[in-house]
Amino acid sequence: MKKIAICFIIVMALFVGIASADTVIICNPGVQETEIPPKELQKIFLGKMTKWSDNSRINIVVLKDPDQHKLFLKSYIHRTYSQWKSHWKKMVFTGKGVKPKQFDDTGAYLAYIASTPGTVGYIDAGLAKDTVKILNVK
Amino acid sequence: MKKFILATIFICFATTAAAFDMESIQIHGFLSQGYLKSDTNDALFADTSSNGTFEFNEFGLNIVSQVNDDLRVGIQLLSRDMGDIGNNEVEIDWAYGDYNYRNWLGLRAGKMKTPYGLYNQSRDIDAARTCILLPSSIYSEGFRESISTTIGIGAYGELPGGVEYQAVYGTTQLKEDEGIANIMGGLMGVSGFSDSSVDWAYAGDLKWSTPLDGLTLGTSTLGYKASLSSDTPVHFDLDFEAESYIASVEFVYGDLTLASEYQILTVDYTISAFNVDDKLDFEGYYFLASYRINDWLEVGTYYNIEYTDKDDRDGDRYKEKGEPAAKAWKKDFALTTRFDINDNMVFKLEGHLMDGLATVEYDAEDPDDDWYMLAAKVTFSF
Repeated sequence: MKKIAICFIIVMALFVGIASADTVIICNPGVQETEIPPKELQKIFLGKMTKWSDNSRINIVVLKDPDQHKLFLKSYIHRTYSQWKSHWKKMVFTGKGVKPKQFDDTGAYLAYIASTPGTVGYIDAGLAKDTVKILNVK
Repeated sequence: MKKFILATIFICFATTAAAFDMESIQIHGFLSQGYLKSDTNDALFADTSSNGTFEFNEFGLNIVSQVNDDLRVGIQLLSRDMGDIGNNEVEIDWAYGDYNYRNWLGLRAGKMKTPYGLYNQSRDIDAARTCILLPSSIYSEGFRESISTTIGIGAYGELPGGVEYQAVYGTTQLKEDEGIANIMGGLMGVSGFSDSSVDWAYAGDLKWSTPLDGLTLGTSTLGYKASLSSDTPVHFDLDFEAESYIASVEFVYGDLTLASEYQILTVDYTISAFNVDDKLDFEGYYFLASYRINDWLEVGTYYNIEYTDKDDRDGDRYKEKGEPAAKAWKKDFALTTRFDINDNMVFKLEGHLMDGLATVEYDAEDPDDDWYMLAAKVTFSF
């Protein structure tokens, strides 16, 4: 029984690792953080945590590509696409937040993150460039 | 005239089919039009029983600017109609400055949505939930005007351990011919108030995102002191203090959302001219479930129970007065389907199986406490 439980945990850990490994969290190189706890990352992308540790403002950006966006939401934010939309409608129509900027073009998206202080986003691990910093989530 | 201006502005922006976004400035809006039809009694301050009613809509338009790292300012105009309430008068829904000092402390000043329960702040945003009508035990349309917004100051923040807090203090709105004035007047046999005022109002809300992913526990409190004046048949003042508490739980697991809330609302009132000194104890709770089936379809249901007096759940007091005992309660079993036509358009269809006559207009000659209501609504937002 114990062996089965250990195998199950290993398989689940591999599965989660694979799901998250496809997408990485990236930010502007000026952001002081090098790693971030998963719960804090959720709060950041839900607009509940708006300041980095140096008290500068966090600026969220997302991709319009539905597959990549849904994978990110599932892997890191633990929300479905419809829950994400509903959450941000609540934020926007109560004045509690400004909606994250969306990008169609990956090149423009990476350039924006590289040039805009405090910006955080996500991208397919294979597309990350040296102009942005990868934030480790742990 | 104002409603035409708002509609024109809305259409101008809506036709762009996308929110206006100039880096630090965003403009968003929504437009909802609904239809209500009941088989016998009239509900929600509207003539729902004869041919149904289209007096059931909301239009909102906001502009928000992130001035700098710490300061955000914004304003939202809202026009709504629900039978006798609202009548599409354009009003400022919220307008406040938000100074975010640290993650654990932010300060707000102006007119803010009142933090209360899971859904009070977002109650006018149809596109943000599954059901059309929120459970009335907590989110009564009758009390909406007084608990929807607070004009004053507020604080909020994220504390260690996943605790989120919000608190506001100031004043609130009370209209002499709507909502709570009608409810209080109806319960006490008084009709027609000529003036209203609010001395103070407060609200506080705590939410704890527990270590179990998706499980949120919350508690809220709210109170205000107000008075209503009448000149019929002679001048008198109805002074009252309302105080309420909510316990909330919400669990999100994948596409499934479960929620439940319990509320006690006490209203202490005096009419010194008639030596009246009494109180009302409202009680209510609900259980809600919703499930997202695919990108365009979501289904939901809730069971809502409310009592106008928690010490008289069987309506004995009403029976003594020769009125239907069912005025003491309302039990509502609702079924909803939500269709997401696209990211900007939602259509919903909802059925309500009702038991009870609390806060309902009924035929005194032939009261029917088992009745049905249908609601349909389409919402555009950008």
